[in-house]
Amino acid sequence: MGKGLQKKLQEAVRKLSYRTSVDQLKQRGISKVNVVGLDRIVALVETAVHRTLRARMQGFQGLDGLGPNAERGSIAEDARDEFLRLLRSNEKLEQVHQEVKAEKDELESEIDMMRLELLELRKAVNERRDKVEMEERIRVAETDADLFAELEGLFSQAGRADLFEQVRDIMATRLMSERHLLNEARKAEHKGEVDLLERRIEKLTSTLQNTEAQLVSALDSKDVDQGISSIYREVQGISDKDVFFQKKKGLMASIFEANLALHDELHKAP
Amino acid sequence: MSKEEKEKPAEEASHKDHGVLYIGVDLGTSRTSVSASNGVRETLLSVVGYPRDVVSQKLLKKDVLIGEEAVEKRMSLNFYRPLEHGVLKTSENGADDAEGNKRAATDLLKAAIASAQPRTDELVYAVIGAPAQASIHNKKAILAAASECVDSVMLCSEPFAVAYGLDWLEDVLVVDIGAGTADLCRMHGTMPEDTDQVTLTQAGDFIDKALYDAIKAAHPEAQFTINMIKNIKEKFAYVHGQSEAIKVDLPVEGKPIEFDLTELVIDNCKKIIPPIVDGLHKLIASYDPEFQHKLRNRVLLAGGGSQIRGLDRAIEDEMKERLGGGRVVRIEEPIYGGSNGALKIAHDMPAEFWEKLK
Repeated sequence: MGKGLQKKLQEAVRKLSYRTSVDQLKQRGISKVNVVGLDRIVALVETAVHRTLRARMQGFQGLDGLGPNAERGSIAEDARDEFLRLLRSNEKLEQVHQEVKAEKDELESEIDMMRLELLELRKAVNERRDKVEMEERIRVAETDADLFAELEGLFSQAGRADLFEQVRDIMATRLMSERHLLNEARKAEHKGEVDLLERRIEKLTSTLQNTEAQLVSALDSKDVDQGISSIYREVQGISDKDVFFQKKKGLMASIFEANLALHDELHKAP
Repeated sequence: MSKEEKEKPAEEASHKDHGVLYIGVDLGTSRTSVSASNGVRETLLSVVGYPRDVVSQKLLKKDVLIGEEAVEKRMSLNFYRPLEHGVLKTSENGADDAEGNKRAATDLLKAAIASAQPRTDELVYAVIGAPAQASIHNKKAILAAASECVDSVMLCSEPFAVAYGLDWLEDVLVVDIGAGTADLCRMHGTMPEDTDQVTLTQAGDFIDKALYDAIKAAHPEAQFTINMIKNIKEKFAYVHGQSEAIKVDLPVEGKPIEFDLTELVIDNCKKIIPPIVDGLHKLIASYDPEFQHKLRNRVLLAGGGSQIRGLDRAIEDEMKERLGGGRVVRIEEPIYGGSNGALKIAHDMPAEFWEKLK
């Protein structure tokens, strides 16, 4: 590769990268990062050059016969273009990943807010019910105590204290029945308010379910993690230039035979 | 198999026109390493966890946790280490909850393959390094698990993969020290046979256990777990030459106290050396006498257990004393030696072989 090409590649990598420190990453809540090593970049460049050379090799006897500088320059240009294309495809993937991540974060925060609101509403409804019940119990107890004390005084004054307990029981039963009717009327009065709160709960629950479904489908539909491309476009095999070609060929055959027997066993098993 | 089932893979394959991803996997008792032809290299702890109940599941928001994540959340999980002594825990080797371990092994393999980040439109061909003396039953279990997530898969012996990855194909002795086993394999240009391989259980876990017992006996007041001992070994262990003292803080009734573990660590790490040299002796002595000297001088040390500092020199010393000499070379990347080799085998495997195993 010429120095000019190397410089352009370095510039391309520099343009696509940014500087940051471990402390800055920590401040952003990032504890793990994906690192693209020099070997990965070199592998990308090698693949690009390899592919381009292979396409161009048809007219040549071999690398030694490349000849004219102009032709080599052209190959280098093509290699650079291929490298930039690979980098751009990685950049595009990263961009999609960031978009989906932002959408996911937004939906998750929306869901959290809704959950919180739902919780608050349920709490408010329960508190209101408890409060009404408690107030009623206190009021009834106070009223009954006053009433029965007054009655007991009156019966004593009239010299018929013996009748007090009977009258008190009859009154207590009647009062209970009247109170029940009154409670129903009161509940009907509050019903509007409680119904409104319950309708809001129902609506929020349904929105929450929809948003959660939306989140799942957002993660499913967009191919967040498309994976990392292999450097090979087709099945390889031992290079015939390998110094151990024959030996390795024999070893590959042995490994295959052992595995074939194993596969057969596996498929025979019930 | 019905006609539809037979046609399905072909139909799927027709969409896989973007390229071919080769994956090499070293399935280890302690760690599983992956090397792929897209440049990805990953290693994950060979542990799997499933939420214990509905509450844990809601809290963890996952059905399966793998590796470090599973270790971190182990209190809320049904926790599995699906491999022991280098092989899958199955009913064959009397493991408890064989079904659970089988499911865990399948999920571990799936996670290992997924960690290579394959594209859906690429063919995925994988070679998995299995322990040298894994049983047929065990190999079948690995194959069945892997074939669920790749297009075609093959198994090969782990130490063989290490040697193949370095193009050391003749007159080489590979010592692959993992957590569960140390596999010794003699390479002589053809596929190693059973007589070319020795599997020892004196490996990483063996050292951890011995060191744990020794520290417990020497310092009964110290509080520690086997996992803490493993971390100490991985960080400080050495077996040859002068090095710094190994001083480690261990809790005593909740308060960290410094202990000098230098001698204990060295002595217990050295315990794997005699059985390894016994194995080397056996493989050298039964080799063609004309080439025994070559074999003795080409010992390749690999695997996570080979990271103990000075182990190559210590084995050389023991060989000198018992076998009259020898040369040991430690590979540059012990953790990825097996997976890199498996990746190279996958690359070199001809297309028709992959096709036949689909």
